[in-house]
Amino acid sequence: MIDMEDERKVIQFSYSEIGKRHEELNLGNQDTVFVGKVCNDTYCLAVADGVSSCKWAKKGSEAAIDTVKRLALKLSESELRTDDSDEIRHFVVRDWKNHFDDSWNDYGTTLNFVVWCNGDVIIGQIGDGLIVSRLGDEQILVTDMDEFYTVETYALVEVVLKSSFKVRMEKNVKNVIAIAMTDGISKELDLEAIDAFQRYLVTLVKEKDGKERDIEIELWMNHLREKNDDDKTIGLLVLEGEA
Amino acid sequence: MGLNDFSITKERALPIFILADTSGSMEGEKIQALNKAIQEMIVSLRNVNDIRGVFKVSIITFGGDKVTVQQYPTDVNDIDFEELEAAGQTPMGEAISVVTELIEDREIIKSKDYLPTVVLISDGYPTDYPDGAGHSVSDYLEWEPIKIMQEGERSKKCMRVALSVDSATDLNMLSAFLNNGSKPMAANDAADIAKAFQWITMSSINRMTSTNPNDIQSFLKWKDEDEDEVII
Repeated sequence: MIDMEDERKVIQFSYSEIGKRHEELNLGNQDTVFVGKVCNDTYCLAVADGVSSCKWAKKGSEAAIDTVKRLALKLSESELRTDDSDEIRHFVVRDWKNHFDDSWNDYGTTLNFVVWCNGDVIIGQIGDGLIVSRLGDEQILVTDMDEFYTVETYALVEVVLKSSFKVRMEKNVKNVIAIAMTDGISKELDLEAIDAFQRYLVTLVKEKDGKERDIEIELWMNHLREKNDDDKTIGLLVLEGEA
Repeated sequence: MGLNDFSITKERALPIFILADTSGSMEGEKIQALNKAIQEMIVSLRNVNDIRGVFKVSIITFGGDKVTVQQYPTDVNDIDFEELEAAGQTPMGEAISVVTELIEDREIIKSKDYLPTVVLISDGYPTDYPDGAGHSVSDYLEWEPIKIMQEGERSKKCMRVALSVDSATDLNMLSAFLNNGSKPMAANDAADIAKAFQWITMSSINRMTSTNPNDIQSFLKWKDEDEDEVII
């Protein structure tokens, strides 16, 4: 879907489906995704993957997305600084935990997000999944897959280690192409082809009509379903032009 | 061209490293039992269907006065196993150093591969340890080959199994190698060696057929000693 907002061209797309494993267990899709405008000059892309072993994983992932939206709002209202990664980390963890009274370990979720706020970009990741962002001329890849054999997948839970929560900030970014996805898709991607994948997906969403795009996405999902039984979620946010 | 073209084409490997003691004391029934157990493991792994990956087996022997990589990590379907022979000393420390190097080598073990399993089989003590035999677990934990393995970015995360095949085995050394809360397995005869390898084989197959082969919590108790700030 291509929108024109605030004289910027905005392309936003998301897809999410339940994996065979959760379908058979009648658990529902534990992933949650949001792509879009939060308020003036502020957009975000967020995907969250509820940890299957957690009782209320879906509520956890929904809360994580809500927290990212609230983070975006706070940044746009200058209640949080876009250049203070510790402040951002603390806000995300506390705000997420505030969605629940206690037993936070029952709501565990991973989280991948990109917030664009008036030219400032914040990229964050806890746990697995992948974010690939082209900010102007710079390509940024955030993934846990470079960290060899993550024995434990980190997540938003009761205790979050600072080192498990990656935050990256960039200023004065006019154009953004950001893709975030949960592990059900990212672990099957060839990282050496990630740039080409990004270009291809943007072209698919931008230029193909809805039916053609849906057919191709379905073919892709068929292919991924053979590779793993996880829930699969992906979001794309493109911001072009002057604010 | 389509989105499918951006998927990984090569299968993920589950590497299994076998560190086999081929010192002189293994001669006879023990080495014969070990050879048979490895052969049977290879056959079993070849016959597993419907898995999303491939088993790769590596055999590293320590005996005589050297460590030999008999087999670098190789697709189990392509392995041509040559029976091991026993002779000489027990350079166990060097074997541990060699396997650590292989695991840390990103050309040999790819980032996308599953957590390796490392199986150490011995009937004695490391003759390359500076002060002879009979040391404590904490002494062995300070020994360079063990220290490097326990601190390696990749090697520290591996699933480790230790098998003692004689009552004279230095269990403290095997415990230091494990350092994960589990105990060395004990094999008193050929049948026990076979049983232990059947367990290793089945656990590898179970991992590969599970939804997350890297989730080895039920097999490995790993304690992260690194200090890290907690966000409350």
